[in-house]
Amino acid sequence: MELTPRTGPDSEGGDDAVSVVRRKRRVSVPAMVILVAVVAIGGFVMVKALGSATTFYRNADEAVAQRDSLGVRRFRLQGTVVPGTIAQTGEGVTFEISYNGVPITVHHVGDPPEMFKENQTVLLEGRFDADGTNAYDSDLMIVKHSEVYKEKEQERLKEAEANGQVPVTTMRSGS
Amino acid sequence: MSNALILGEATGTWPYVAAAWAVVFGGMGAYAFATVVRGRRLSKKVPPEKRRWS
Amino acid sequence: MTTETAGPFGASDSGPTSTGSRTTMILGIVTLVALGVLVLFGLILSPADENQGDAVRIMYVHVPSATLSYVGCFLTAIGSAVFLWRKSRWWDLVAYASAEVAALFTAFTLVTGMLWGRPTWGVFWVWDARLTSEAMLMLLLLGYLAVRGIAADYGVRAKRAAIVGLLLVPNVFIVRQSVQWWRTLHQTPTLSLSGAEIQGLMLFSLFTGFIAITLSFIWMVIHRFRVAWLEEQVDAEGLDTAIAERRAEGVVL
Repeated sequence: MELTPRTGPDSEGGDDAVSVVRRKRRVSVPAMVILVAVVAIGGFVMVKALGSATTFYRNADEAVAQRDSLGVRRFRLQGTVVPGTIAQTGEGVTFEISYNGVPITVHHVGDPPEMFKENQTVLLEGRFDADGTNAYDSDLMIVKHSEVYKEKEQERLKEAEANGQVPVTTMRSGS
Repeated sequence: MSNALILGEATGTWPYVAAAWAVVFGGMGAYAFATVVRGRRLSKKVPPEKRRWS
Repeated sequence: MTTETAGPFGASDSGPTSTGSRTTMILGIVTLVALGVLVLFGLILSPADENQGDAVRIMYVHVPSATLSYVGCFLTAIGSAVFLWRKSRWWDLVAYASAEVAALFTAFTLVTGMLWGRPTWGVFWVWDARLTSEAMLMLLLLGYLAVRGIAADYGVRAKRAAIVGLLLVPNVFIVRQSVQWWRTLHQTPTLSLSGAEIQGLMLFSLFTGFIAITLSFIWMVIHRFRVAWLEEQVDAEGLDTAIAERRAEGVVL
């Protein structure tokens, strides 16, 4: 071994020295601060978010059933956009969603996301209208998508582009 | 619903795709490079018999 | 020794001068080829999705990154368990190396997920159970790495880290099951034991992603492990030298 110390005392029996030197080499206050911050943020997030995870959103039928208790309280609403109900308004878009056959009319303020279309499941943030009806005023729309992926069929797409319309349904491809 | 929507969708999502792939490929590349550089520097300070791979 | 040109342990000595070896060289080349194939299929040959358009391509890096971050967490937990059981330094360093790479992949998962969420959901982030638990996993991994940086003796430090390392397993389980247990914006898994909700070239691209990212993960963990190993050796050397110097100077310890 070509490791040659300056002098040659045996380096055994230096356990105390080892720990002293190592401690000095490893002093790191920022790491301690980061750890405390991480634990604090983690705890906060866990309590805050996972605590309300079961009511992350209400389906349209549940929301209607809880209409009275919900009042004008803010909550998330989920449902599927009913075909033929979408209409542009001055400040956004209005449409109907339904879940388990229970419809709710939605007045959304703002531009809907690009993937917003008929039969799409959407998640809305807002509240029931103050007039006591089942109309829902939303100011945030999130489009849900499923875990199912289907190839976009180029032939149909080109055909649709030629006709100036989007294909309504696309057959499942592959296999 | 018109052509513009299809085209808009097609051009609108590519920046996100490019950014996501750049993050993963760039991140892996940078990490790999940094690790190799660290390894080369440290290797010089360690006797060969303690580097057990060959 | 014959020469002193490249430092005390230069290239003239036997043994590798980097963390590379013949095996990792071959692995690295195969990995680069796999990444090339992933680009080819993921970005060029695979079709756009009926609903999502080209945004679906983010899946080919997002899902494998997430999966490998879970693998990294499990490897860290295994390393931590073996360390606690047998006081094996080797396994402690495996846990360390794998935790750092897992943190990198978790970061990829979060960032690519946000970039996927914006064009599909319409938002970068939502505090649903999946995204929240994933963020917690990131924090736990950062916590693990922070614990390793806190001043303490080797044994104490490794033991603390190992305990945090074991906590990764329930967290990964929560992340994985969150979409089943709670109402989330995030969709349920596309690939499951009951079958795949994806077909043809899209499925193949995802498969390519798993291969390429897995190979990258293995390469990174091996190299990071060797860096950690070298650090341990340098620490030990530095210690010997420091003690010797102090003795030579007549300092009483």
